[in-house]
Amino acid sequence: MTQIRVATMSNAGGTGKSTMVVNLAYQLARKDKTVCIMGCDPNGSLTLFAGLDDPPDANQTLDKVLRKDFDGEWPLFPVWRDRIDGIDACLGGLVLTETAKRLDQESRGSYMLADALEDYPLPHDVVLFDCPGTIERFHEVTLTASTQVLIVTKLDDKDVDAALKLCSWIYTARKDLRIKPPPEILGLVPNGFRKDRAMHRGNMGTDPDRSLPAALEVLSVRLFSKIRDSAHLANAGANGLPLGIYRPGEPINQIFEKIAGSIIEEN
Amino acid sequence: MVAKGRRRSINQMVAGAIESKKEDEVSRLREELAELRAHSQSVGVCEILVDNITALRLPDNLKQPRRYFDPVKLAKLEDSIQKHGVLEPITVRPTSDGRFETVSGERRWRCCAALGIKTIPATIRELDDETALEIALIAQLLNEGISVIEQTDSIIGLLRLRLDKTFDETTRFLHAAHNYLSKGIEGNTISGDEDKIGVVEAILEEFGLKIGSFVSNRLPLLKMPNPILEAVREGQVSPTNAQIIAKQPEEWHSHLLAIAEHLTKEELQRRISELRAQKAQQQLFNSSDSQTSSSPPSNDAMNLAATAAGSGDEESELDQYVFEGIKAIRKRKTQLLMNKKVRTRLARIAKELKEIKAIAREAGIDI
Repeated sequence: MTQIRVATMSNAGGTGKSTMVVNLAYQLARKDKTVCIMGCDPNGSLTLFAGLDDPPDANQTLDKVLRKDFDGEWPLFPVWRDRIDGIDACLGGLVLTETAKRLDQESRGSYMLADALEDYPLPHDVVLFDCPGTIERFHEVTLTASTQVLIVTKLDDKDVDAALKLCSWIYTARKDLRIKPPPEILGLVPNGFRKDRAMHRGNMGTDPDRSLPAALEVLSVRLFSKIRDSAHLANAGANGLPLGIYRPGEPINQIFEKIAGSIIEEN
Repeated sequence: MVAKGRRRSINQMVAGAIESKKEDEVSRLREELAELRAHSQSVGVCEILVDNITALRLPDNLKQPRRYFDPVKLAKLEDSIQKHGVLEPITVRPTSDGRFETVSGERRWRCCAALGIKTIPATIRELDDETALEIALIAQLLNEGISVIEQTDSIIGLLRLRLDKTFDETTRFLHAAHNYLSKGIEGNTISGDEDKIGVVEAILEEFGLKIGSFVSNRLPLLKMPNPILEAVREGQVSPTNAQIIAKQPEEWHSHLLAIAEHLTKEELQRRISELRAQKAQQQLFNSSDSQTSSSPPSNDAMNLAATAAGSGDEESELDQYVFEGIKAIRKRKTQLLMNKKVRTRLARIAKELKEIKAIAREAGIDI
């Protein structure tokens, strides 16, 4: 089976990408897949949610990989090894702001991650990229290296608008960058749903003029089940654990499991 | 006090994404077309006698793309060809009887024939049926204006070719494949043929479609009665008019098909309203004939007329249950909206309302 590579993207900060990545990694590992999670975000939230410490220097981060003289020794850290096998992390963090500048100067800047993965393949079944909050260089970098894109969005109007703009960007970018084969949009996950918010309910479909489900139908983009706003989910992340370990009985875990399942079955 | 602003509708938000997606797909299709063209043998570009050309003939009445030629658009194309000639060579393939069949560019060829132009620039390629159909389909998709029905029909044609099945077998296979993929139900249709599912998915993917949405949204379009579907394929009626006719009582179909060829959508609708009014009058005439003497003729006749014309009882019932019902629900809106079962049903109502708006628009009622 060819390596599956999923970029988790959004066009706004704080939508729940890093949370999604760690929880998907956990669910995939439960299905006996080996996973490498990659932090491509300067805010380094993936490090926190994976229960790890910020690496002491750039050589232990993704920055090391995105250099012309990368020697193929990926800087990987084991994740939750005392509870489950199979998950490793290549971390991001503040150093990535410098990395981005360097990529701007390289002739194959946007392809350096794809090149590194091709020249020095990782053994994992699945690679999950945690992308930054708004569309920027690392979106291109991960898009060229991905087989699929998962979009996570909150449900206020501004978030929905941003998510649809992201779809637009993905179609344009994959055409302009001539990525072969072009990464597919795996689907969109509505996150942070609050049933007492009329705006959320409206955007999820009771209002015919504003139906996100209908809009995605037109684009043929799959809409996954909505994840409600949950303190447990936030707390799990703060404790550096996936929800599946922190609070196994929580129904939201089933949504993560379903998404993990479709990542595997789409390939 | 809250100030009134303006919320952006989802339709506005999604418009940009739709546009980008189309451009991306077009770009990919163009690449594929270029590749396909490169792979087939070419004998170069020549001027060929228009009279020596026929439309693409495919075996077993395979669904040919672009059967309906909109007369207005055709007229525009004729104008343009008359002024500038045919600028882009059409693609043809040689036939066994020394003539040529159009693979792409049938409209341009027809315009030349209509204008009495003697020759047309063409690229001649040796193409087997499968490749010819594929090129014709892709080239057609790159042109605007192909209706969803024609596209669906053509794609099924392509699937038939690759799967080597009849039309009915193909639609059955699609349903079975959808069930297999979404629910894991492996019926008789699929067993032994799982690899064919991959073939179907690959073909649909070339057109940006997935089996699930193709089965739910596209296949039903072809559920029109056969005479109407045939008329669309023969190019005798536009796809829009065909769908309108399909919704009318069956006994009207052949009459409507006969007159619809040169009617616009609005003219067809008007004719249908006339027929409806005639039918209502007919019923009134018939029923007032069969009156019993015990009831006062005028009242019963009026009631029957009212029922026949669909007014009176039916309207007041609808008024009471629907409009009053909505008023009642609105009073408890906040509470009701928190209930998932209610939301599901409201979503259905929203869909019906959308359709009502569309019907109103077609009928010229301003909402």
